[in-house]
Amino acid sequence: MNIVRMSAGERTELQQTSRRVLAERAPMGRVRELLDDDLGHDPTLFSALVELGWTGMHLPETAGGSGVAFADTAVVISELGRAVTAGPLVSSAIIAAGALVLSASADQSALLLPSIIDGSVIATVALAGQGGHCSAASVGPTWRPAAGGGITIDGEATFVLDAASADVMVVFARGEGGVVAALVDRSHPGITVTPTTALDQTRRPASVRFDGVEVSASSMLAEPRDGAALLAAVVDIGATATALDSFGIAEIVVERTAEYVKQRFQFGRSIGSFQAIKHRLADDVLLVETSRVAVDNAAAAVDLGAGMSVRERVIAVATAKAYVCDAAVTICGDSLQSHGGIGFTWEHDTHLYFKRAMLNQALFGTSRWHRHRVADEVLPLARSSSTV
Amino acid sequence: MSEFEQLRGEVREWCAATIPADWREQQRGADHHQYIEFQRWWRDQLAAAGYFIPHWPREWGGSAMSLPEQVVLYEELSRGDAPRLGITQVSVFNAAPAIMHAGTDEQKQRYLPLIASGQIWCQGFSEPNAGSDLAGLQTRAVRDGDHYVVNGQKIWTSMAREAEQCILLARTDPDAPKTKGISFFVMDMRSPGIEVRPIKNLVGDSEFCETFMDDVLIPAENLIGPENGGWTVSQSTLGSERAVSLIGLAELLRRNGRDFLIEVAADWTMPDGTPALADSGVREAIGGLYGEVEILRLVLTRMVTNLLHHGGAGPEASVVKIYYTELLQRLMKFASELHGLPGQILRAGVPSSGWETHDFARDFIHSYSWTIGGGTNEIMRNIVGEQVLGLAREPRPEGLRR
Repeated sequence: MNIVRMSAGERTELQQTSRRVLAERAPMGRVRELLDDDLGHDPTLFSALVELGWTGMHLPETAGGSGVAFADTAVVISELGRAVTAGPLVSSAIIAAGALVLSASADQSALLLPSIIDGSVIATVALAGQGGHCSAASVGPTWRPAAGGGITIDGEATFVLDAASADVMVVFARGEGGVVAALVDRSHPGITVTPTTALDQTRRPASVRFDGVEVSASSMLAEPRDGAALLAAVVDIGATATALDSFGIAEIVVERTAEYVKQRFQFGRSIGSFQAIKHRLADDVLLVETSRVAVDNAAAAVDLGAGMSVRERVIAVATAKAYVCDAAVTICGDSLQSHGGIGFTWEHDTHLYFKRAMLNQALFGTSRWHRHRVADEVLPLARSSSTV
Repeated sequence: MSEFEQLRGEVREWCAATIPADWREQQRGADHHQYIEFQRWWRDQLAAAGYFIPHWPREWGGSAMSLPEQVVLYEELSRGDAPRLGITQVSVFNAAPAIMHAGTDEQKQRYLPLIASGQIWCQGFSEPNAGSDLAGLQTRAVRDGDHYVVNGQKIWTSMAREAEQCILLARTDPDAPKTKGISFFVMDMRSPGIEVRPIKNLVGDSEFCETFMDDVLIPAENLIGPENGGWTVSQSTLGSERAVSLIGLAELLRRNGRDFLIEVAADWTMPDGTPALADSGVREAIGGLYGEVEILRLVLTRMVTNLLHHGGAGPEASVVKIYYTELLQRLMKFASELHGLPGQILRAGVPSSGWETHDFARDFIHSYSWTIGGGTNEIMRNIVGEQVLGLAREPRPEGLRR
């Protein structure tokens, strides 16, 4: 696959454009209006982002995408986090589309990617089971062979992002021979989507139940022999996107907290002049700067067709997911503490960042699991249970 | 990249041929004299290969290596388990940048060849009452004809016993605001009136000293930069010291910290006799630390790239200093705790190894020299808060304002 790499200048321009578009089309007031909205996102915003090419940025040019490196697309994902934007762009165009590109099924990929890119189809990935874990052993749905080379899917996938908006789902299922992946219409008989109300109301996860859902052989994306590898690769795309989202949050929260402590006066001086506040913020700057290189590294590692070894990819992604998502939560907590009472109100934006950072920390694998994934790559006596 | 790969190969080969595989065991327990002898030998090896002052221009005897080439050099030296060259740290990384930056042509002609020849220098900045508040220093230099007469006391003057020159900060205008009345001198350590007393540090080494000056005469031509302009000159040396000396540290921490731990801990056990590395909590902690060391490599690479494209390292160097030193400390603390009682057995130190003696408990304690030295991490946090975020400075009590 031909990958287009942006110059530093182009990347900065993309970042500035993204920031401006989101400030205009999805300002905080709009984010708040959508918190209690049934759909949970603004379809006209989604169409606008499709128009800008955000849904096809890193997807192959042969499918109508722009073929830009994931490392560059990463800029947009961070901006979505920074703006706490609601909507299915990442779950559809980044994660589900990434699964299609990586899957063995060139047919399904060719068929569906153009529709994901033009926004006419929204896709998502269903994989986690009870506990929300992402390892091969924890996959929620189960499969058994059906007539004609197809399979039958039962069971439940939890925390499926944007399931209610999705038209199709990449479903991972576990069974006798191993993990498989299949493409399933959300409207398929036997599928029940139940929204899960999360603390973070900018996101719309759902539980998806499968009761004897028949999938034909042509809809299979991965057979048992390569299902676990595809699962790990898709989890790594999801984990990287989530870390990028958290990075965007971390960056703006430090900026906003710094502004606040400059203008908030107590004891006759700005509270930012107190070392108790200043040093905590300096620690947060350190977390942002170290997170920045960690997410860049992970984004380069999941570049579609980057050709990096699985070991290198897992170390880069798992490190970024654990480190950056933890950092964002720390930074949000520090921000709340520095803001004092005002930060504890519904009116203040602190909770929007904090809740999203918390959800991110748990999405696509907890920090603890990701640190174990790194350990399993670098230590002897690998523990099979924590390996994907 | 191929030109760098060629250099990498050359340095790697040189390390294999030059560095004695058993130098750590040879140097374990070395006394001060043996340490200095070994350091001089190592300096001469580096100089012969063109690795002693790699970043200097050729006209001054350097190898004119670009920053990426320096990165390769320092990485490969670390990978080759090279001893740390401590004796010329001040001359090469502190004195030379100041002289190159603020010295006259005559001063460059006089001092740079001395430094290039491997002369040992020391740094007279800190005083008993001027540590983090360095600008509060009280050593006085009074102009008297062609000379300045210096009186005062310096502390933490590493290598003062061996040093032939000292870069000295002294107050030349006691009435000016603190940073506006300081001058930067080169002081000949053989001058009458200088007394040096070694200070034994907490691991038992005596590398640093107290230096007392009683009516010491410094020729006026040894003033670097303008009179009362020494603070600015000294700040430039601290900046470059931080930036260049941080290169290669990631490799050291990776090799002598993290990877060494994983290697030796393979034999360690838990109370139930099972391998320590099979323990879930231990694995999680190592998984996290492993990634943090990778992040150090990435963040240093980024700093070097910025240096290359935008010049100075700026306040970013402070972020890197905090991150490196505290990661070092976390890693050593974890390793020491995991090792338990066997790690408490006292073995003689390895003076040329810096913190990486491979005794985690000792190295943990030694790691505090990094969080205190080179500007304490508290001062670094002030710099980040004030220069990166633009937060207000802590107000100074009226009575202390100079």
